[in-house]
Amino acid sequence: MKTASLKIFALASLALAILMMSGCAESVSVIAEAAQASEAPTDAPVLPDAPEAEEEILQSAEKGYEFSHNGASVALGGLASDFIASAGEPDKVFEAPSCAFVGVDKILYYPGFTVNTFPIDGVDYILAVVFTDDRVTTPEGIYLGKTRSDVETAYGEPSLEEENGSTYNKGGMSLRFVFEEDVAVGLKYYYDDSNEHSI
Amino acid sequence: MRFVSYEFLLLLAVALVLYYTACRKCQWQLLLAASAVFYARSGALHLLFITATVASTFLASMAMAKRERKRERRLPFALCLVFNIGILAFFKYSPLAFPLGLSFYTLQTMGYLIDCYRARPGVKPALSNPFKLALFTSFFPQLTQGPISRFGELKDTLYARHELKADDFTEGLLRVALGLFKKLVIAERLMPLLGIQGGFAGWCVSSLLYAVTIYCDFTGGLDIAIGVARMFGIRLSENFDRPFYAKSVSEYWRRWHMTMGSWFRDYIFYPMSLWKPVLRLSKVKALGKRAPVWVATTVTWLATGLWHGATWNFVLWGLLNGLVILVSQELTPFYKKFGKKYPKLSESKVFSAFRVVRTFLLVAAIRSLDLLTLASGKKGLLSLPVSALIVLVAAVLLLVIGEHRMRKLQNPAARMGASLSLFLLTLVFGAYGAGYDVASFIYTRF
Amino acid sequence: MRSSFLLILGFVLCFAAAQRLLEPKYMTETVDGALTAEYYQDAGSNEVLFVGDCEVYENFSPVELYREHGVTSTIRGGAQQLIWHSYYLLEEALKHETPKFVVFNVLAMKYGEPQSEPYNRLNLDGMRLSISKLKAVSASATKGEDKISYILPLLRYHDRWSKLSLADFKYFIQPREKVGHNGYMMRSDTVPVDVVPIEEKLPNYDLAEQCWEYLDKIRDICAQKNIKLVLVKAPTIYPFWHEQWDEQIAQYAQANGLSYFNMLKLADDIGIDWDTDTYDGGLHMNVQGAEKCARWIGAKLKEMESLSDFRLDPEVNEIWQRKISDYERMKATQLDELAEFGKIQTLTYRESEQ
Repeated sequence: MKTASLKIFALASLALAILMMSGCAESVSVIAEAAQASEAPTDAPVLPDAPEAEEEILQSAEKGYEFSHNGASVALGGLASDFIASAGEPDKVFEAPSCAFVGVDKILYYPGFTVNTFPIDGVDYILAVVFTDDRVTTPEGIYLGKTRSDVETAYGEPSLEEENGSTYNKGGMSLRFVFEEDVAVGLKYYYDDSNEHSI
Repeated sequence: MRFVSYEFLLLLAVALVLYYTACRKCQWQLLLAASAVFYARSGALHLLFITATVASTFLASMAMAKRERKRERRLPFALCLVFNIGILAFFKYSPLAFPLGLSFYTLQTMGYLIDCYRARPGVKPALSNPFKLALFTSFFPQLTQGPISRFGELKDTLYARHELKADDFTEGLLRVALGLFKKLVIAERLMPLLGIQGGFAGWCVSSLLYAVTIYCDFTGGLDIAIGVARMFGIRLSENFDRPFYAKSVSEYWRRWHMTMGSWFRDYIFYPMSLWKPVLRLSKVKALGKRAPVWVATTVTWLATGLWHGATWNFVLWGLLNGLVILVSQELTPFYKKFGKKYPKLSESKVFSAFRVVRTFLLVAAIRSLDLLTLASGKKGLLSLPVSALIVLVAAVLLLVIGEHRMRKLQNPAARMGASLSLFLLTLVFGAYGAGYDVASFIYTRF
Repeated sequence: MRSSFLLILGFVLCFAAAQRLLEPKYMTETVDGALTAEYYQDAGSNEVLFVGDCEVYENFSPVELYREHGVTSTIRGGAQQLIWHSYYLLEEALKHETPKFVVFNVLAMKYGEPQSEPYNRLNLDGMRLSISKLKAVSASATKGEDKISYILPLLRYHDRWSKLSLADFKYFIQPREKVGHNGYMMRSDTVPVDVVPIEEKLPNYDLAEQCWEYLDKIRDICAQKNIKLVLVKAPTIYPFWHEQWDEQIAQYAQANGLSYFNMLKLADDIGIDWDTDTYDGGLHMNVQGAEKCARWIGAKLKEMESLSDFRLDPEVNEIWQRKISDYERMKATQLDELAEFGKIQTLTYRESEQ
């Protein structure tokens, strides 16, 4: 290659390298935002997993399916005391102490449904809501005794379909139906299916 | 694969045993294999990029070796340089997963390329064995966070045959123990607290915390890197020389991340300041004689900032460092006059202490720009339980008083004793295991 | 060389001491955690080995089984002991003794996956290092667990340095007290059944494939050693033991020539009084209920196979008389505490000396 061409080529390569290294200055802020938003490693120090992870789960559950009783909304992951304060005291309470550890799971019985709670540091949080009979209805108009097609009309395609069940996931929580001969016999709101974890 | 992991420990143990027993005649090859395993565990796809770097550098160096005249070496040199810097730039700005150690091995390999281009003594002739170049590029102790080695300094020790010596082994073990202590007892405990606290006082505390964290994390990682290499009988360059004792920002950067500083100095600052178009600027009256220094310093620190990160805060951080250094240089005549006028004061220990503290605060303030990328309102130091605070204070004191003394131990038995004591302290008081997620070293993100 | 050896030895000793100090003692809180390690003190010549979770170690009294029937037994049980825990604990136990019966509680069949790290710890930390332990750890570990910390517990419990209590120092120096009476954890208090939970419907009652595999392994290992395997479902009202699960176990038992007793359904036969025989509203038996269960199961086992009456063996009887004495002493202590404080405080004891 001739000297002049070589110089031009080298200068052009260098210009390209500088361009790439400096980036587009005006888009640095956009890139910075993207770098922060992306899951790829950024240049910021990597922090350990936040110990508040459990709180994050609890908070995100509020955006899922909702159920309310006597005007009191049941917030999965929310404080049981808040619900009791709004909805009133349960008819009865079943307590199930954890195997080995300190902590008591509870089932609060209300007319037509139960609220299952679990303790964190001695404070009860709502784990699940289970319908026990047809005295209560979901905001979407479903109650025990409705058919499978009624459920699909109200909620659409399930996230998980089984022979005798359908589960809908939304906002970090789930709504599960159990069917016998295509009739809903079980209904449960929950965000963690391992509610038998303590026994 | 992380340095602080059981699998790294296993890799190291197996490699050491084989190195000094079955593979005594193929030691460097074993190190290459271990490095490949280390790197592959971090993502097989990333092997592609490091291989591309090694291959392109090897081909370019071979092409340059055949060309006597520097002018003829320019094309292969430029092509290889653009290719590899291009890869680095691409990943700096891309949201894709950043290949492990890319920043470090790119600098290190480009240093080798530049040395081949310049035909520096010790580098000519270039390596004829691509696998040796692969080992230089990927040597696993230094791959993820340095030190950034020069080929001329490393080649004799890296490829030589090493016998097991108590001196090397125990000194290496002590460095590893120190590194783990700094990382797990101090840095990991402080990491969750990093972030800008409200108010001036909060900012001061955050900056100080960050300075201590990054020192312990970075030097801890380097201690492990240097220590592991030493256990194989290989001496890597030191990267820190008690930086918090520096009396000026210039001196600080001659004591902190020394191999990075010298790389940018030798491969950007000096060529830039001696480049004719830049030299001609000194003849422009409006700019002054020091214009070339200003330009070279600015470009060097801009490059340093960009190397650290693609976000504006790193660019600003780099430029601020450069500015402070330049201003300090411009004020040198005034410092000299001050020294002449008040000789006793300027030579006193009090004044030295003032300069050390001033430099520490200045550097911590500039470094706090890193914190702006983190969420604000993180828990403060006082959110830690009293027991953790006591451990932190005790650990920092142990470092301040003991690190230098431990590094100076000559007796292998004394080093062994110090190492085992540090291991035990780390095992008990380290922030690792259940409930912790030992973060990668900060500098492995580069 | 010599100094290196001494230094390394010193390190090992300090490591061991730190580990002994920092690992949980299970003497004041979560005493169930002590049961796995205690097994080795009672192992040797038992004719019956009970295996399972808290439905076993709180519902069967080996002391009463001996007192009523002369049958020697022990319990290899732990808190939420999952079926793979049970299998490997059984496998290890059978290296120490060969009973005539293994009685396995089937509640664990409902857990198809590892549940939580704390329960893994409670069940496996007390196991001596062995191939069985390594296999158990491998089968049980939840995501993110460091398996090596089951071999070197200091790696898991090092953080307890900031939570050390007097009990940690006390039991660092002296041997631990006992929690179980041949694996039975005694509760003398009474909380009658008040609310019986309503059964929750499930979309799928299939028990996990992994659980069936481990049940097969338990059956096989018993068959290899000529041990009769008996399946039971302990009499507890919660967690739910669905009818569909019960049928599957009954079918399995029939297909494999095993006996299966759903003791919840047989509560009347056993003589369980839900007002007096439970300490937590029906989840577990108290000592009265556990003794009833022991007497009942003992009678059933004797119908299946002739068992020795060790009450007639002077040597064995002497040992068991001490066990009975310790048992009754604890019972009396707990009852006194209930009368005075309204709650039980004593869950551990020192064995009578020979």
